[in-house]
Amino acid sequence: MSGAGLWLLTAVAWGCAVCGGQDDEDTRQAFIDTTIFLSLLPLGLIGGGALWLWRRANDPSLTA
Amino acid sequence: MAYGMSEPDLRIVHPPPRERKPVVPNAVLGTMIFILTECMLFAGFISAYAIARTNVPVWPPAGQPRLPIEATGFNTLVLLASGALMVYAGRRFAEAPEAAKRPMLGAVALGVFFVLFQGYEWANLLSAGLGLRTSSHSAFFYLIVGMHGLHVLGGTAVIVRQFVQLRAGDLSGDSFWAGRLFWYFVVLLWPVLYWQVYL
Repeated sequence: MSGAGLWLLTAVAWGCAVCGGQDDEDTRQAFIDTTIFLSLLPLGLIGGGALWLWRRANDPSLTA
Repeated sequence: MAYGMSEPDLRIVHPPPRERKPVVPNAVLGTMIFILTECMLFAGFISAYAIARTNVPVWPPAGQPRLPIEATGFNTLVLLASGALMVYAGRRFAEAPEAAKRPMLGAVALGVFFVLFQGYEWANLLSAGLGLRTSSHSAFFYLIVGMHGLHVLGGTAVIVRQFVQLRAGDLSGDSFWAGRLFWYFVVLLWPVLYWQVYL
């Protein structure tokens, strides 16, 4: 049942970015760029959030 | 011990502990973590879209209806105005919660307008022949824009609920902060998607 559902859903959209990939320079560069983007984004988000929390934790105005 | 001498009091008296507010309310922290995961979801969409663009020589593909750039640009301004009103509502809420009603209502109205306008655009594109299966471009368009539209709907539902709570005097500052945070995410994400998908 779930297999049939997956088969039907995948037939709906042509959204697979890697299946139709061609071996040209633009595609290769796009893979490199997006790999860097997807690798650095979570680090930046988590690092930024942690820095913000640390600053708030050391904010004397939060102490009643 | 000799009779008549008092026993020395050796108990350690601690000063009362300093009361400290939580660094971040639980509702806000949970919303932040949720937004982080949402950022990765949309980053995945944008990355896949960027790679798909390189697979065809002309983008958007020739022979397909053009996306309504100007009308959506106007709608982008509407959503940004909604975010600005929400910032204003947050400031007014800090002064007096009652004063946040009007800007909050305005933010809701603009958010609903954004979704309705997007629906109108979708109806026009569908009638012009741009369906989900037309091409990878159209598939990505409906996926990315549709997913953002669902987030706007969800955010609008949250704000409407908070507006009802505000009218009843039950809206806490922490809850409102969390709701606003999600709305800011939805608002600030859209210009990025507009730039990527429409321009």
